Amino acid sequence: MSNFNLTKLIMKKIFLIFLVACGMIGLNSCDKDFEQLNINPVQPPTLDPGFLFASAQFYSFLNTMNFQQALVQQVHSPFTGVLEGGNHNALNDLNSNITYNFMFSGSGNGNYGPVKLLTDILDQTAGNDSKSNLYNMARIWKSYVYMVLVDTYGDVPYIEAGKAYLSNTFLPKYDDQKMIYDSILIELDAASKALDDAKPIERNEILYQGDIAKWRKLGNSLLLRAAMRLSKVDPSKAQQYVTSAIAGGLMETNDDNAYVRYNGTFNSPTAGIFQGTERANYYLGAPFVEELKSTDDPRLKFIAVKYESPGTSDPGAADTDPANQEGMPFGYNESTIANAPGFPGKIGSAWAYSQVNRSTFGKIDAPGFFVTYSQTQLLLAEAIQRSWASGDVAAVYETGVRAHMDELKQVSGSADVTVSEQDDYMLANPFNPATALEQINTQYWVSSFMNGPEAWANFRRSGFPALTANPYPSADPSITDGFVHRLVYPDREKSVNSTNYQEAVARQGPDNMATRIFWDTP
Amino acid sequence: MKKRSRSAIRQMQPILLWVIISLISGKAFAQSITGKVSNDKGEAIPGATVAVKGSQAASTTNVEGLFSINAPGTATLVFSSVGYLTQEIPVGGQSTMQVTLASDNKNLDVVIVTALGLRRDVRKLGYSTATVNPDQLTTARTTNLGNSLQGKVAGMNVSPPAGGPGGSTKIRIRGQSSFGGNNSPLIIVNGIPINNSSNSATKSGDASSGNNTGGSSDRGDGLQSINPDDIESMTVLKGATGSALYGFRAKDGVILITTKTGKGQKGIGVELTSNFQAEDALDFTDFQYEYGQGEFGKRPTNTSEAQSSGVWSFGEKFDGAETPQFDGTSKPYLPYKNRIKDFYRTGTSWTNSIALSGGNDKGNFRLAFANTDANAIMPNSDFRKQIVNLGLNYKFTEKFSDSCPANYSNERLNNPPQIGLQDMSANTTIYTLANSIDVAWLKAKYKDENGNEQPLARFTNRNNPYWVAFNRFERQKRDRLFGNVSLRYQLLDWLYVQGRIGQDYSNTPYEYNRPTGTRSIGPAPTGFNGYYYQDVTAQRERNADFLIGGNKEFGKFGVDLNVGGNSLFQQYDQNSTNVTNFYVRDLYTVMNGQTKNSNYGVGRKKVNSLYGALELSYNQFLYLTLTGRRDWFSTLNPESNAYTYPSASLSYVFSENVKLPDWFTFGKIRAAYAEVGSDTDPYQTALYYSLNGNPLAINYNGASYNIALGNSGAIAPNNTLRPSAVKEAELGLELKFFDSRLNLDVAVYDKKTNDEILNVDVSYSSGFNQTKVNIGKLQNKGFEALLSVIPVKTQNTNWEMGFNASYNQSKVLQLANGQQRFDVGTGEFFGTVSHEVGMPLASLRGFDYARDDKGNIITNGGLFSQGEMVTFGSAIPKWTGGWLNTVNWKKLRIFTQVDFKAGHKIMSNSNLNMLREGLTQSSLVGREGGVVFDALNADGTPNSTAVEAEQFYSTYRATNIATPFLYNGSFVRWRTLSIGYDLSDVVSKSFIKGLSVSLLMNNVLMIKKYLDNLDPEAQVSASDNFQGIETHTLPTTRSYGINLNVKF
Repeated sequence: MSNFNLTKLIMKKIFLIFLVACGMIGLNSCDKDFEQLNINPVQPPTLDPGFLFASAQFYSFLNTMNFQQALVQQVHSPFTGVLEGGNHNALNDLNSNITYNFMFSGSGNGNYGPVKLLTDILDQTAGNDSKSNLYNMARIWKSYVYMVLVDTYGDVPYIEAGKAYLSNTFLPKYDDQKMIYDSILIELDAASKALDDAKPIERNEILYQGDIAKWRKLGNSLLLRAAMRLSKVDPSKAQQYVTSAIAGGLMETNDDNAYVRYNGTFNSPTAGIFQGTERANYYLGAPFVEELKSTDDPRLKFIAVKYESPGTSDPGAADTDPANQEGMPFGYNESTIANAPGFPGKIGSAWAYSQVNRSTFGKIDAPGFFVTYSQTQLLLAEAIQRSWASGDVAAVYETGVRAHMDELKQVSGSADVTVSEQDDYMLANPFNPATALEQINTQYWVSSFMNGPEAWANFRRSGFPALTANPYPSADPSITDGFVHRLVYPDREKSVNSTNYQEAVARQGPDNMATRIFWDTP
Repeated sequence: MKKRSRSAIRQMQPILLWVIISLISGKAFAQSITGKVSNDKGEAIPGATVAVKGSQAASTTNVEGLFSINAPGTATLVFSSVGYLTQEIPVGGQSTMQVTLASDNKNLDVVIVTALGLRRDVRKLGYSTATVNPDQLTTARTTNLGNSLQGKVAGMNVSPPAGGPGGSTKIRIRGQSSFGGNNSPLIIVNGIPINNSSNSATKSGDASSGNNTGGSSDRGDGLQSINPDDIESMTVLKGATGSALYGFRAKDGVILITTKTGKGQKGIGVELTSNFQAEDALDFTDFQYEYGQGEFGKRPTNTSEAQSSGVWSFGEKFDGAETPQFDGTSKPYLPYKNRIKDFYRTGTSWTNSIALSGGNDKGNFRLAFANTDANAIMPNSDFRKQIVNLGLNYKFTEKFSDSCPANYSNERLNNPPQIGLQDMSANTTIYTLANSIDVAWLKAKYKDENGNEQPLARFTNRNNPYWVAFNRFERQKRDRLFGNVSLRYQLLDWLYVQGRIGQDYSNTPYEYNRPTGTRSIGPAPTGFNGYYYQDVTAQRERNADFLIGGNKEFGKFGVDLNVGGNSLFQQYDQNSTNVTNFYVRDLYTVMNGQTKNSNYGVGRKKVNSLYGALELSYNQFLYLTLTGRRDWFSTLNPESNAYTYPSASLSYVFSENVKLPDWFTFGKIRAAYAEVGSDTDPYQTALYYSLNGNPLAINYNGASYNIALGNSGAIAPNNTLRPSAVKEAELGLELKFFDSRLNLDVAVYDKKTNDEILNVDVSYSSGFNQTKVNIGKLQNKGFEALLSVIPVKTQNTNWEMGFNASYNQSKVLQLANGQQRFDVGTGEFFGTVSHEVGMPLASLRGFDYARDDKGNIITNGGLFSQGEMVTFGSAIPKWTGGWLNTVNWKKLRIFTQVDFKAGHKIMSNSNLNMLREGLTQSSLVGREGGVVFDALNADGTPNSTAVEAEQFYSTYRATNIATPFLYNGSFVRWRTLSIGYDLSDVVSKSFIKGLSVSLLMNNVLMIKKYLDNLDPEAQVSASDNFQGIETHTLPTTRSYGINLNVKF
């Protein structure tokens, strides 16, 4: 009996030890896996910075239809609510935060924030000789991105921006806008010069397949653009960099144009506006249509259209006859537009005003232009006019105008402005040295159609075209001269990055739509 | 000894064989004994247990105290009932017995299941628990188990699914313990955790590509895989101390479910239950029916105007004149007042279950099958589930036993409605439809001759609800198996050892489309437009644990010690693909899409734990329990990945120690303190990159190139994360008077959450949207009370009344980076849910009117404008509670429940839309001559400018002003009424042993509410990040049903 008990007791003990051991072994062996287990098996912890660069470029083209395009009176929606903003000179964070959010972190845009990506690329490639071309291309591109940011908001985080991961800087300080522009000029100049054919070429980029010559032209053309921004505020610095840009070599044909080639998979961000939910709600602005119509501009028939059924996905017959086009006047909303002089009535839920042609600029794969040959020629014409460069201003002006007419073929193969049409137009609208700045910059306005940030910046800088102030009755009270001079910082930034926000506001003036960017002097 | 080991071997035969044997041999040698059990006053004792000593055979007395049991003539019967002394009487060949039980005021032992599956006498516990009577879950049955818990437990706040059957129930215990969206309690089934994550209702999708359809339906939670008929007991561990042994999983409390095993069944028992319910939408709308469809005071004059204004009722006064309609016809201009009843159909739900159970003195089993077919009130939306539940336990020897509970479910959810958003939501269109459109016309023409969506309104995303119901689809299937195998060996009389392994595995295919021809979608570059998404998710949670426990008594002292360990492994795999641009119309497959995006997501994590619980008792009145747990996390930096969670609780049964009057039956004071926590997801400590699934294909200089688009995440990683810590102290008092006819259980608690791991907003200019940090501190303080009374207890009548109430006050104490507030969710139209320092959790924020210094609303041209963003109040109810009554009168049983929530706010996005589109009564103001808003001009003079009505009301949308759409969210609701009748006597002469029938009604009456036009419970429910922001959900329903229960 006692033997049995003993055996039983031993058996029990063995069982107990076995069970505890199982448990402990399980625990110990797991501990070793811990580090391995917490490494994501399906996402890389490092990535070729070239892959990031293509994204930084691609996601730099923004749909700014509700503010910038409306502020230059080219595109208009009468609606209040979510579409409101530039159409009524009204505050609407939803639309004014796009440039900030998309450019910095890419929030709301797949998180492909160009500033985030470019900061990472520059960190990864700095001092790496084999990546020097990528490094310099990234400097050029960062300068483009920052021109848009400063032109929109004024002071923005620059030195500390994009570094949440690199240095745990979660709440970056805002930098002085003038300082940022100084840096942009230096960076564009230096980076364009530092591009080197002999160094490895970065093929994974969306503009030129890494073509160094074209990149240099882009860098210099951007430098010209940045320099010309200072035309009023610092002419001597403007001239200095204009000279440098011309010496470095500007864009020479439309083949040099920097633009995103959208396709059936990667659609233009403006396509949702012209083809999707809101397709019945956007129109061409009356001043824009009027300008093109009054000059018999051959581009009008490729831009403006009246559809038979604007509210549907298949809009039916398209009337592109320039004579029938009329833009929607500013100053009205969805309920008061019926009171506008010459109100053309409704077509279903839409109004009978001209819209953006859905087979050209409104296409699902309409290209997104950043910098064009036409814009560059027009800026050069102005520089010549201001005697900051040598050349025949009339000829350069004409090249710039014709370049944009030719450029429409890059928008849509069918948009062919023939040479004879161009000749007719140039003949009917000759260059007049007395109105040189107005003509050049009005053409720049046409040439920058659908490139909202650039059209708006150049309009504020040059004061042309001579648009009439938007007469909308309940515009934001901060606006005094009828024009919006900057967009306000995102609401989110006011609460999240409050201290730095306050510091920037104290430095540059009230955070409203009247405070001017440093280069925008009356 | 030899003989015994031989019999042991025999008993180790396969369990199936044993089941068969017990089937055959069940009734051998038994004789039938009947009798009555009464108390010393001669009153019948219903529900007393009559057991055959030394076997599993048992029976209970009916309401008249009568019992019937089969037992050998040599057996001894054991009679027991709560509140009475147990008595043993040998059968001695008797066939009838009259038994009198003496009452025992001391013996109030109620044994419940506590953490780790330890069974404990409630009187010993130093922390608050609650048990839910499973009968109440089966009588007032709901399709999702969680929904039946509403109003039943003090301190538990239950919100019903907003998406109909198959949706998820939100359960919160003692407030919301974290800033994050998910504060659901841990669900433990038979000792092992199961996955209760909700697949639900967050706004997602990519609006810019026109594909913002996804993920806004509620696809259910983990609790719905359990059939209430299978539940033997349910315990709720409310505080941190009760759940402390679950360490990092314990911050939100624990619901412990034990499923039936067939215990107490002699021979084979068969039980059938059948439940049928029908439900109808509740219509709380109180719309205007004076002015019909139209805009700016004009009715449509042609078809295209009718197609533009289908969701506006700013037309003309009704006159019955023929007026153009969206479908191309003309119809009399008249109001249609029954949109809710006309669109939503009668939902039906059939649940049938059969359970087989049996056992003998070696073990028992129960095998149950349940089938539920539920048709939602939303046309073409339904939910089906089949559940197989197995309970099995067996004693290999006297000391060595196992149990093996398992639950398999197959759930199919078909077209759950989109809720809480505008696009592709039938609810949104129905609730905003012009009041002169008959829903029948929408049904008759929801697509045009080309098969595309028929235009109804200039808002292209206000879809025809039948287009949504019939052309959109969304399907989820879930195969799920969870269960465990548990072995237990009683080493010595006072020492046992137990090992368990449990797993919860599910595989869930899911798909949805956005149909070709939907108005709001742009044309496809090539092929047909539309969108199709498909994914398959596999989830696995595996727990292996061991437990060694012993107890010894030393004179007046008792010691009970349990030590154990657990290894948790969780795995998540998801393959997903979405496609657009279809080759063939209306064929929604991955192969048919020309543009494809694929993704694969994975997550794996482990947590290893060791824990122990020491319970010390003195002289049956003083109990001290100490527990400790240490968890090691794979998800944290290996340098600092281990954390410890202690608890202590003390309970003093003073009624055992102090001389009290006779009517004072029982008294106990308890105090407890514990620290628990929560952990984080895998892969949060390092930055990861990704590549867009599609290359950017471009043509450049005549050649084609594929450009790779790389990216990094949106959340800056953090390698210094700690698990969060929840520290909770509670005090409680339990009192019972008059032989337990009056019972009170109260608890007060103070719960502080520290270091919660959360994504917090950083400046977008930092390049990232958020970073993961240990954020701030928050507090929940409150009390809970449960008062149960038995006002009447006679031979024929038993009336039990329970009243539970709880109060919880939350407060944000501190946020990371010195932030004042951060936002967690934004409404579809307006409103934000924020956590704000110094305020309760879940502050509802929105814009107020622009006001002058004195607070007067100022206008410009008769119109108000947007003012400051202000905090209106918390979305979390401070008060929740219920009043439950059960009355048994002879064979009739009535159960009724009234419950309430109070002290919280709702922001109604629906009321904004219904006002700005001219549907509500309040939109009648200013129809003729315009609205002269009662406010001041900027110069301080009263406004006298009239603004056209539609323009005035639509300005609320333009300015996002929330002030007029803020409501008190409180309500009192008569939740349930059920009436049952026991027909067992009628059929007692046949082979049927028991038969009962009950009728029930859920949502009997809304006694009080404050929200206009809607039910305050009709809200997107699953996540805490959208709470209080009401936006066009499915209406709530009233259901009527019948339950049938048959025992063989």
